[in-house]
Amino acid sequence: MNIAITISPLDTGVVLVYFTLIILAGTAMGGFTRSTKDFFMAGQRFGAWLIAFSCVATTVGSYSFIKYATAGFNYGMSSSMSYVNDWIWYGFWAFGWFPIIYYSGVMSVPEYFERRFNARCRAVASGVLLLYMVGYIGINLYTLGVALEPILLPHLQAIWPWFSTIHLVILIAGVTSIYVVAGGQTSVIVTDLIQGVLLLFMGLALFGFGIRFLHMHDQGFWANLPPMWRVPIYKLQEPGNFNSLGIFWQDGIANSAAFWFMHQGLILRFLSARTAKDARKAFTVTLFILMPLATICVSSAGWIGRAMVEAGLLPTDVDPKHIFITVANTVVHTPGFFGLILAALTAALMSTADTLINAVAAVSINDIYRRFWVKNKSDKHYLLMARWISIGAAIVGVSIVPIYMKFKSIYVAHGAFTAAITPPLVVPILLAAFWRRFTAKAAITTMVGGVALVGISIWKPQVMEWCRMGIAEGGENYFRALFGTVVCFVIGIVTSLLTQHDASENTAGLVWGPEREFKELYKGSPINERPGGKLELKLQLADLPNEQVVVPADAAEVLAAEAGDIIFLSHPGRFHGVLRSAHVRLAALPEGITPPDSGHVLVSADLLEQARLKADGSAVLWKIM
Amino acid sequence: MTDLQSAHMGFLVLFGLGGIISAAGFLLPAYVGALNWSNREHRIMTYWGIAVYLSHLLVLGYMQFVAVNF
Repeated sequence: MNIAITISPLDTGVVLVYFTLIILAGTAMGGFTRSTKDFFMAGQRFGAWLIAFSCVATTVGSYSFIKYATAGFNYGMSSSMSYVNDWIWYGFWAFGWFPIIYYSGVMSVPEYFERRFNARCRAVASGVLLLYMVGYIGINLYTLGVALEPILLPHLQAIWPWFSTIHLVILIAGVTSIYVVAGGQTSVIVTDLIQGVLLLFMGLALFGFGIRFLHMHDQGFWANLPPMWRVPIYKLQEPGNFNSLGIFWQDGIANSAAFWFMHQGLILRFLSARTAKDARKAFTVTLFILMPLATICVSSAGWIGRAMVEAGLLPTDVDPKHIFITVANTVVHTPGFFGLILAALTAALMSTADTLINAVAAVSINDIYRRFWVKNKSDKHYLLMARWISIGAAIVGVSIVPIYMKFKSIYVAHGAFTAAITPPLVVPILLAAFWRRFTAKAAITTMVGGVALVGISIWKPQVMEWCRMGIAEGGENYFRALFGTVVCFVIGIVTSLLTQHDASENTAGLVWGPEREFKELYKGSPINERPGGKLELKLQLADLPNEQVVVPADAAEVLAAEAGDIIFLSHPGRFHGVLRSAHVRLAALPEGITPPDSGHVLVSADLLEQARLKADGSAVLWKIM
Repeated sequence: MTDLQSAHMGFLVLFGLGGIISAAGFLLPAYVGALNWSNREHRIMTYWGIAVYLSHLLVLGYMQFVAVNF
């Protein structure tokens, strides 16, 4: 049965205030987006904590609250399994994949494939990747509709009888698009910070409210959880649709690899970090602190719901699919607080969808439009097109929502989708990055052959029976992940051994190896590792090439920097320093230019414009490499 | 095999098989030179990587093997 949901005018007001705040914060970032580099990589100006919070906000989609609260209700603490296995890929990402994408200067996986192999690889990867990302936008929009349907629809239909779930989805997608179009990646990161803090806070608060509610009724949380609901890792092979072996292969191996190695939104997010060190720190904070907190946020309503059912505080036939909203509405009685929970649920969707919309625009513009369709136009033209494509991506995401409505449950729909698409793309990435012998022909064969074989396994599941591993009936999506991963590795390795490298193939800086070599390729000269300090200098205009600065000899000594070194230049303020900044190169004084005064740095007018700094102000400088 | 024993097997798969893959993520980069022990940033990342693994192992292990009995 469904519980009657009540929503007060104050709750509605809180949701409206939240929407207004997000739109204002997001669109305010439009002023910092003047190029495609700003639009896709936020000008590479953000520190570790901003990146980390935005990563978590992206990870937690609206489907997370529904999917994991339902799993928490049905199976207990083990609903957290999907969030606590990303550590498996820590070393491969931090020492292998990340240095490649950061220092090679690529903006996407398809671009990496072209640099590593050829244009054909890029075209195939772009197609598969776009399919993956647009599908993900659709899933997120659909699940938000499912989550909010029982709460908002009766209220909205009382005013507009024609209002349905799809209209709700269009409304949310529209709000998200407004700020993504305005500010691109900068808006995404800033709004994701707000949304990440909100959803973590609300998720943990809901858990606290739930325990308090049980105590108020003389019931304990832990005491009312049946034994199997207390274990964090569930049974090995059963039930078919939720078992630890299947989740290990599907979530731990295939999906986590896809998330950290292939997810275009996450790649752009880490490329937005001002230094490689910040990006790695963000990755560590996300895995070590924020993901474990996030799993409590998304699952705890289900755990509380189970304890309430066992304690007789909820009916036994409560609908697990709506357990998050049911628990929130039952345990929270503070006026306006339920509105904050609705805002957190919406924040989870928007922070995932905005990342994907921006990522779809990045792949569409860089890997298809600019590469194969309309070449050699101005950056302003591509920036305009990126904004139009962002709108288009939201529209396509909305239009595929009805397809997901046909699936039995969200969990199955999500699993079927990711299991089918993920291995054929993530395996070639792993082989390309970690195996020099991997060839272009093998990369294409793996992607095309992998999609075909996984497609066959959906049509004829018996072809993957050999990798069932004793998983009970109903677990096809789990061992399809293993099937896809194994067949893609076999196709990739065998084809590589049977083919030769093409002349166009390149491994320098594109296959894992000493990081110093990657840095030197990135910088174009030997790296300078002398430790230096930070220095605040007054700005002094000069006719210099853009992205170059000149400092007095004593300042260069403090910075421990030489001509050609990469310097980070930012506004001295703590808040403005994040947004008003740029990467520059230290240059020797050109002929005909007056040397900088003591305590000054020479900058060009273009650089001031790019970094949004005032000519009569000052800036903090420090050496990156 | 009881339900609880089956759950313990799942725990061993995650931290055993997952642990082997995770360890390979440090040993193989060290072999190809991608993890350079003389680089301070790499050393710190390695310590954090081990800390992430151990923290998950200990917290989930506590819940799996101990808390279920209380």
